[in-house]
Amino acid sequence: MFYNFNKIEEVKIRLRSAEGHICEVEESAALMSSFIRSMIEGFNEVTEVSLPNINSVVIEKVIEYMRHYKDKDPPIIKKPIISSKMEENTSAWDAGFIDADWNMVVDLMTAADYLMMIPLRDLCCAKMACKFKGRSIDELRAEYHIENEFPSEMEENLEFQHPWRLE
Amino acid sequence: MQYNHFIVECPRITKTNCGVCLEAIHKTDIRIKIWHYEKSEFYHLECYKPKLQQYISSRHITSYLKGEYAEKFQSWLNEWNLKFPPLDKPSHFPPKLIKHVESQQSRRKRSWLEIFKFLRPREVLNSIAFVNKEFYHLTWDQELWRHYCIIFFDVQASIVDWRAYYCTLSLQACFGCKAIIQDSEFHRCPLLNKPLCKKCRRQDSKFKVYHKNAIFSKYGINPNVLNLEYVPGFNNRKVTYHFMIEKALYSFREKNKEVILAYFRKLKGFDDLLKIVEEIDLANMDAKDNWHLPNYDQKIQHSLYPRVFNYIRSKEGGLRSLKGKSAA
Repeated sequence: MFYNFNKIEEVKIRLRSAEGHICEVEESAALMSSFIRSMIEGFNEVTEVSLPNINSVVIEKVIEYMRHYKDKDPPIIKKPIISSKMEENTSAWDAGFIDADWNMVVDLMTAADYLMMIPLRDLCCAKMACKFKGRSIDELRAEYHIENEFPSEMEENLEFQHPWRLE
Repeated sequence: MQYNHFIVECPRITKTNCGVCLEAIHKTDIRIKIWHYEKSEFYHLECYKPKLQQYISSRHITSYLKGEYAEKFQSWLNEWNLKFPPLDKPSHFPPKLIKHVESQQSRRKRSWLEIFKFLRPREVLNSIAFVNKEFYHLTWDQELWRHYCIIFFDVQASIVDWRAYYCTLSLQACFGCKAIIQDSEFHRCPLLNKPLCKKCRRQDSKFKVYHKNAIFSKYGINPNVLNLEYVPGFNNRKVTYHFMIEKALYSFREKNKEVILAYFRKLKGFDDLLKIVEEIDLANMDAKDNWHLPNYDQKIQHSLYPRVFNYIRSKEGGLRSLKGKSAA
């Protein structure tokens, strides 16, 4: 009798999204998430994890990240970031991966926080910080539709009390 | 710090008069009472204007109001507070408690703080804090300033006010080695606006000073195009630091590279050259032993490469010569 050990398939973890859609990921990749790791280690023979806070698009993106860093450590992003360009702060793959619209980055950050994946959460935070870096107050307000909550009298007071804001 | 402290109540008798309009305060009115050592002052709620122009926290008010009176006072308070940013949290507030309460609000706050940790303290103070009230309040958070103290000064201590501690450290610590230094052991450079210890000043090559002629002889680049700041140094010659020159050179070359890329993108058929230009390392453009000479990559054989390299490095030759060559 011959056994072909190469053909032994790895256990797959099924991640159930908010819509009920199921995405499969290899166990070794899924262990990157401390949340899933604790589920697997806590309850033996768990193969399905329900993630009611995360939609299927975001789960697929998370799985892409997990698979890429399955066998290696993700790069550490230096705090504070040195540039508003993501390519200069981290690896080219990471910069390309996180090059998405604002809502997607926010959803991904929430998912990373929920799944306890610190490198992915840091990547999302760095991307958002890049969008803030080097922008003036008015530019930030205009871009993210933030109303000026400070009345004009107070604005003058702030300028007087905190002259360094104009530096 | 001073706060607006007062008592809010409905008077039991109508003997008291308002300090502003001088009319009697009736039982149906809301009365503000400010207690002094010798006598008390009373005001109608409508007449009262707090002395300090700042946010009034509920912990500084003693309220004896109930029902609709309490609601009326709350709406007055909200209207007043709308004009001011909220105050800093009291220092005895346990920060661990905030972190571990899994409410939506605390999660949102935590997320913002994680983002702000990727920015420099100066950016947080200069622009982020004044975007809106929520950000203003977040920029006072102890966790954020503790993080800055640790990454910039490697401090591990139990401090109550981390923000104030960071300010102290940034004024007293050396710009180079980050060590806290005595008054006699440093000089405050007008270029840096920060203390620089004598050891760093003498031994660290980053803080070696150069005057304009020295910059030209070292790099072969006209220093006037670098937008450098100078201070009077030895023999009243205007000098600047080595690390500032390197920084200015990098941004100067970055601009030149963008100009070149934009120029060749317009002309079609230069994809190979565009790839070469994109891969040019801006930090290592000068030869190590002879700084004034360009550090070409010997493997690249493209005919336009030396001219493009020289243009990015020192803006030599100009775009005109490139135009002639590229047309040919």
